[in-house]
Amino acid sequence: MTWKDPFNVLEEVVENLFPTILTEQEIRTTLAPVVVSEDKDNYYVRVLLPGVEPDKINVVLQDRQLSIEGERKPEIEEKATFLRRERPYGKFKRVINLSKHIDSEKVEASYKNGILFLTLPKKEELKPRQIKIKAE
Amino acid sequence: MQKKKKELTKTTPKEEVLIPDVDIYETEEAYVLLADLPGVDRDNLCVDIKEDELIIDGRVENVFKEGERPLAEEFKLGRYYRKFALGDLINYENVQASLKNGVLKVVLGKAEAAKPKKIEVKVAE
Repeated sequence: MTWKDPFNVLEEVVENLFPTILTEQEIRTTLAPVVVSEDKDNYYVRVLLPGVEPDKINVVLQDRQLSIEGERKPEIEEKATFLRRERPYGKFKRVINLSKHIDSEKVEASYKNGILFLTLPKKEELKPRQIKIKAE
Repeated sequence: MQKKKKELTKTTPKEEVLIPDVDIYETEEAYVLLADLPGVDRDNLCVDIKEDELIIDGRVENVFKEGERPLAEEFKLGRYYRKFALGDLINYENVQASLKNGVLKVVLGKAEAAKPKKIEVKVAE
């Protein structure tokens, strides 16, 4: 089965701009597209997973690699036939390479309205520090 | 030329409209529509039937915090909008909608004419 992939073009752009952040792409990234962002204290990862029960999503942080894995199954009642089918389904795995310096104890994950949201606090030494210059 | 350009930008909607992916399946009693609307909660979703059209209109409130800098963006959030023509196969009195985990489910009861009918075959003696 083939799916038309509106993210295909964007995917290439993302790859070119950020070659090291996202790897091991599933071919159909429509299944679990991600947005990665940061501020001075945290990295933030958001994954669109509508209809996937949060307890069926497996999130693992190993060293500096974050992986998000799961499966989206088609919902259909017995004795029913599909008339139209656009929603992607199947197994997905997204791997995101972050900085080595993540405070793994303080990582937070939540799921709301079909969006998985992860907050990954940067370790202290990564934060920008103002260095004062002493005048002699 | 200059003037035309200005007018064009004026009429271009400021927000991007996203077309939600849908599945539609048919049971004996109903047509069931499933639409992916990640980020939409009940307060920001409008499911409407006007004349013979089903209209889905949902909005995602800004989920990003102030000061966030994007590193990789594979999706955008905003407003979801899609219309479906229903025709006369639907019993308009029997339509139900629910939203769970970012998926809208609309159950459209079939009109009597659309339900399968068993035709008894009499065996000629």
